[in-house]
Amino acid sequence: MNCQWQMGVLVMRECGMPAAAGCAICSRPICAAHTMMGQNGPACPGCAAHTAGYGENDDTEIAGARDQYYSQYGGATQFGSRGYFSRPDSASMAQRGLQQKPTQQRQYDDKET
Amino acid sequence: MSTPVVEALSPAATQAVAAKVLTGAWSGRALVKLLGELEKWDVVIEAKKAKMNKLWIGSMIGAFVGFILMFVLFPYGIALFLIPFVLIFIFKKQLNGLEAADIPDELRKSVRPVLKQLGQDLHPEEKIKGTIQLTGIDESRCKLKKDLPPGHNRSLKLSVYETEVCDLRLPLADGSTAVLRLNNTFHKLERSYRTTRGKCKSKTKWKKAVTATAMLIPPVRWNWEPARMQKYVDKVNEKLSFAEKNGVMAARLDRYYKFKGIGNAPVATVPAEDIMKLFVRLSGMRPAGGTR
Repeated sequence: MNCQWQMGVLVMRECGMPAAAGCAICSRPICAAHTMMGQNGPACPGCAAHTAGYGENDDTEIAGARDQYYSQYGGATQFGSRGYFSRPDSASMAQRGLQQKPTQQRQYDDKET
Repeated sequence: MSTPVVEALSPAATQAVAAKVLTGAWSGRALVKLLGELEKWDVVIEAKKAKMNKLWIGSMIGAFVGFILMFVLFPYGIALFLIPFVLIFIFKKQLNGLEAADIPDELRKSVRPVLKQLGQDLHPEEKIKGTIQLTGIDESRCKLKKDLPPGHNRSLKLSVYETEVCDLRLPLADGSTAVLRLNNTFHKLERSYRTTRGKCKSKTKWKKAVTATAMLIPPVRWNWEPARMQKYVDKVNEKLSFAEKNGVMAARLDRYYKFKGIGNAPVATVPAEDIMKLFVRLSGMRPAGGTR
């Protein structure tokens, strides 16, 4: 079985390397490069980014940012059904409750002309 | 003006600092690494600038105190005034040199984080092409200078500076191309007037208008589905458009910002998250299925 972690933000695609373990949180197969070790056992970067007790690296940073961006524009509901995320990604997004969120307070004046 | 010595920079970064521009083709990793070096350089320059600014202000205070002591301790007290007075000019010259060597914050706050986050989306073999300007406000970039109609006892001078901070073409793994452009326009309004007591006073106000442009050029003709993301486009500050590019229809999303500053030009810039959100929304308009 191959690693099902989806890399990227705009052009998401599966890693495809041979899987070495399964994510203890979302149970998708993951390769050694995408395995994050933490208090709940091996986890994929997406789950590690949202669970306490896991370290940070480029993959978790991208996974966290990707969830944040997509959740503001409909999240798993909007994108998952259109083939933007794999089924495990959509499921884990839904599981984490990453639905549409209000945008953050801006530091500049939107209305200024 | 003296430029600080470039220490521990790679030849490419040294060249970029000297030329004040980055032009060419790079792999994603190489560009992020190069920008990282320039970021460190920028941090060092900022620290030196802050230190030099303190020294400059200190020498001005010293010259003032020395001026008073000069009369008390005449004739030996002249040195107490002259030394800090000369130092004012030396420190100011060095401060100007450091300001000239300073790199715009857009590089650190906008461009590099975006490139880092898009690192996994980039085509592994193709290269990023484009230009990144490393100069800030420069007289050579002044597009307009005019005296506005003055009122009672005052003059108004408007200067407009335009800078294209970056224009990058990022080849993505699915064959499409993402284009990132950042354009800065600075409006400097200098107002000087005479008070009723006859004092001349002046105030400078700055406005910085930034246009962040994200474009997605597909490898083949796509039927974009803008309806899906239309509701997420800010009608006041954003503009969504489609344009024919090399036989395909490219989607473009512009976002406009305005920042204000009094005295000095505003240093605030477009957050990297906002640029990423432009790309995410463009990506969300891709036709469903069959695109990758």
